[in-house]
Amino acid sequence: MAGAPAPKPASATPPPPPRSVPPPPPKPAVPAPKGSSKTIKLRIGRYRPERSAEPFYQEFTIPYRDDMVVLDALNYIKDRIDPTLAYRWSCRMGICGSCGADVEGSPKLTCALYLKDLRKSPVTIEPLANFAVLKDLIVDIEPFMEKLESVNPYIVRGDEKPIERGEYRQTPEELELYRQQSLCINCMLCYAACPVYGHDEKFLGPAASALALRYEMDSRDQGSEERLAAVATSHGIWQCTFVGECSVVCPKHVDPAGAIQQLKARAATRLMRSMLLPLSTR
Amino acid sequence: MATQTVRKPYVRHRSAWWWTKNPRYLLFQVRELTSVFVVAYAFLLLWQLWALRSGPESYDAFLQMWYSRPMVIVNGIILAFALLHSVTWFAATTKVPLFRIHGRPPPVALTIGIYVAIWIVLSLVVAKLLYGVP
Amino acid sequence: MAERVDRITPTFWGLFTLGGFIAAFLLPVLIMMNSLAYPLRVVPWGAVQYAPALGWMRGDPVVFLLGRSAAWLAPWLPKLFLVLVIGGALFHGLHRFKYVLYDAGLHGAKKVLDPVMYGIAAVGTAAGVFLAFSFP
Repeated sequence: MAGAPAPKPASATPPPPPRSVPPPPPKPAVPAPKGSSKTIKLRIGRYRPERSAEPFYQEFTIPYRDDMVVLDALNYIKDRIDPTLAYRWSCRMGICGSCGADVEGSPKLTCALYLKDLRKSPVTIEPLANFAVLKDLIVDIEPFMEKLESVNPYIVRGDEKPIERGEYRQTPEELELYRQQSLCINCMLCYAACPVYGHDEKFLGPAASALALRYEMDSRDQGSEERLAAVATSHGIWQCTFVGECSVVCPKHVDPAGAIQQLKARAATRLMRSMLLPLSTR
Repeated sequence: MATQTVRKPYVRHRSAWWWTKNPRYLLFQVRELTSVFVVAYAFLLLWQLWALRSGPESYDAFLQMWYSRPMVIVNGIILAFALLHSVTWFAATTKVPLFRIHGRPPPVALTIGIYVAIWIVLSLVVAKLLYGVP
Repeated sequence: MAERVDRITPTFWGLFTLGGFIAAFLLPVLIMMNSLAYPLRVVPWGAVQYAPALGWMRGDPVVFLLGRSAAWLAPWLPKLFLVLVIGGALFHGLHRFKYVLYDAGLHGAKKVLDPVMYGIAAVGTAAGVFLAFSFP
């Protein structure tokens, strides 16, 4: 349904004035955040396709306070040390799902991880694993968006009732059936944690599967057959070996690993029923 | 004019050593490898049946091998992996709720408790029936 | 993005799951009693030899439990038990091992791995049926 993806000028920013690569280390003259006395060394994965074909690491030492999160550190660097650092963020409160990055090798929301809780020095911050990198900490989310779309993530009705007859109503118990899966914020940490996705970039993956189950479990939905067909392709749910790490890293406790196993069980029972009762339509 | 992308996506590949990155990945790999031992024991059972079917001499020779020290060690290792399979299997299958209480899936502890209870009862029954009166 | 719906995998996933439960519930006790009970002196040497083993296949240990009316079932139970355990273990283990091989880099070999793995499981289970039911 999506047209040609609009090309994002991610790396089309005009090249900054000539400067050595990597940029010079931070100067001690940088003003510190109020009340800070401690410093932390960050080792940030960088990729500047307009300058070099290979990613590299750059270290920054910055002052910090106990109430600063990793995203604050990135903002500090961008504002005061190196304005070329590229990363995504928006809400700073764990709901927009933009600011995910691999911190010390595990995927985290950088807005929800305090600098004071990081033990290593330097702390390595890299773009989310398994995704193609566009620039610095920015990864290509286009394939992920296509996966979300592929599972028919909307209520499908066989019999649409006229609008005058009101909404499709639902009891709190019926809502409870899919509430957990509906909490996903599309931060993609689960994909970064998934070794199956790391192996097969076409794999449907955790979040899209959880989204499929969210509509599967919705009492108003009647599109189960098409949706199960959409997730049970050769790169679909059957590729999942239930490593379970997606559910460990999920900041919203969506439990995508459990969702995929439930989808498998539903798809298998549906197939069994259709084989045992070939005359039944559903 | 056709729009052009100037992206040069950098594709990284999963390391062959990804499963050493954290203990949960490692446990996953060990869990998946229990399959080798489960399959091995199925073949050992087939061998045992074959020997039993071939008559007393053949079965005596089988028992000589079966209760030799190396084979007992192998069987001990298989038992360890079989137990790991049982434990990880019960934990994993809690993800698909078999029933619901007031619309919610049962607590994980309850499901595991049911599995373990069935496991113990079945094990006692099978143990008793393998040798008549123990 | 329309792709063909996979009907084969769910079938074998069902067998994998069934076999997973069978192996989880029955394998440890079977390995313990069949392989380690004698070395650990839980049972005497007399209990593991040819004659009692043959008697077990005949259903001797269960015949007392069944009562007169159901005694005809006795020879069937041990055989059914063995077929369940062997078939369950093979279909469970080989399905899982297939994914181990995928992950080890044989991802492109699905067309080969499927028939090989499930073929071994099917032949092994058939051998189990043949062997078990060749006993009186």
